[in-house]
Amino acid sequence: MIEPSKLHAYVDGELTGAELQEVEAKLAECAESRAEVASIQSLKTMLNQAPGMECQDVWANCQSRLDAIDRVRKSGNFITKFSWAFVAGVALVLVIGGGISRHAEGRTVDNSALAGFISNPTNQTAEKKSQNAELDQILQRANEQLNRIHFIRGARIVQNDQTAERLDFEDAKGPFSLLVLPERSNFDDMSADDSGKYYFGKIDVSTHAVGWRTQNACLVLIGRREFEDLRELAQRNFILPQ
Amino acid sequence: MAFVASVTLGKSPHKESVGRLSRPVLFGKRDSKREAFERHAERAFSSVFGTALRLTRNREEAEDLAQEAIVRAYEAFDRFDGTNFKAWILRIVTNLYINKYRSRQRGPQLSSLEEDNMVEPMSLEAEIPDRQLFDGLVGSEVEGALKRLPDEFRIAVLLSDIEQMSYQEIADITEVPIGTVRSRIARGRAMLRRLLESYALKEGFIKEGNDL
Repeated sequence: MIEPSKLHAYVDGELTGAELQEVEAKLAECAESRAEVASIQSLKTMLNQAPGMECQDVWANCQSRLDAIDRVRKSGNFITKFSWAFVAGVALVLVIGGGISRHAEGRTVDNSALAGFISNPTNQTAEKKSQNAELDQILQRANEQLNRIHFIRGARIVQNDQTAERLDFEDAKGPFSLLVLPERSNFDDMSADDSGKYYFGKIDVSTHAVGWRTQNACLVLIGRREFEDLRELAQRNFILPQ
Repeated sequence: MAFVASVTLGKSPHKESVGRLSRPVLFGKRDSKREAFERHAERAFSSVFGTALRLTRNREEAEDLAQEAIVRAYEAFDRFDGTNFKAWILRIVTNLYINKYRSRQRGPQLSSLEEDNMVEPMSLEAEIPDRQLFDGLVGSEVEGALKRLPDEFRIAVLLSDIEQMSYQEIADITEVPIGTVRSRIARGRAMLRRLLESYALKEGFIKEGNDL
């Protein structure tokens, strides 16, 4: 009789070349070996018919675990990659909110320039890593306090001699950007709402902008959502208009 | 509420950039890594869970093992070479089982006799012909017999005959030489057949078989 492990390998299609020829030749002459081959095939067939396992619920649990990993990863990215830009952005917003007075007369925010600030990726300042663990902790806490809004990245945009800080965020409705335009006092080509405090601009059919004044700067939220949504976002989460 | 006046963009030099706003560069992109991973993982998941269940022989532990394997695979997905996801993730399942779950195992199991290189034929001393034996068995009895195989044989047989892995894939998954895979499969199947036969004889459900 042919050595059984060779017969198993033969049934499994794992033999090639001389070994395969040798087994085929011997099989023709050996009834015991042929019986063994048949027996192996029957067992394989039976195991192959083992029913699949019901596991939809387990897969759903796995997806929840992956969601949790994604969330941690996002905030982790924020800590390691973008904390410098975030600090710059937050510091600027704090300066504005704190009311440190500087002259801000004469210059305006032009609706037609907004698109350039958010679509042009050139002239962005490099993202620098924070080396300070304590700072990372503070940033982590700050991020958690943002009302279910995740900070994605920050950059300084320079365009036609105008500088803006751009902070990209994401919430349940998707991504949006905050532009901080320092030393501006008014909006051009944008129309005020009933309160006269928020200004509406349009970037394209579905992308809108809402701007408002603070003491030293104009802030503009831009996103693919309706004006009212953007205004509510501004009222809830950012410095109120002056 | 007519506060939305139409705003024209005018002759701005940036006008042409407006059309680019829909590009993902502006508002971040969907997580393509997660999507690619799920595409692979969902397809392979019944194998992941089935293997976990046949390894741990316990539904609760199998769920833990399957979840942990998925999490680890996701975290290591950057190192997946893109060729054979099922083999790649079954290797993670198997390694996790051996390193973490096996020590918790209880219950009856044959002792391993791997040092003994002799491979017995399955058919020579069989008391019941294959057709009678296999026709009389149901899935739970087969699974029950599989449970009693020592780990290394059970892993080799289930990867080969239930998950349809090649010897080379099994060698990669279990990190042993291909010759070891060959002998484990042969011996594992022979053990499995003996277990099934003794079960059939004990339960007495194959009356005709006893006539032989």
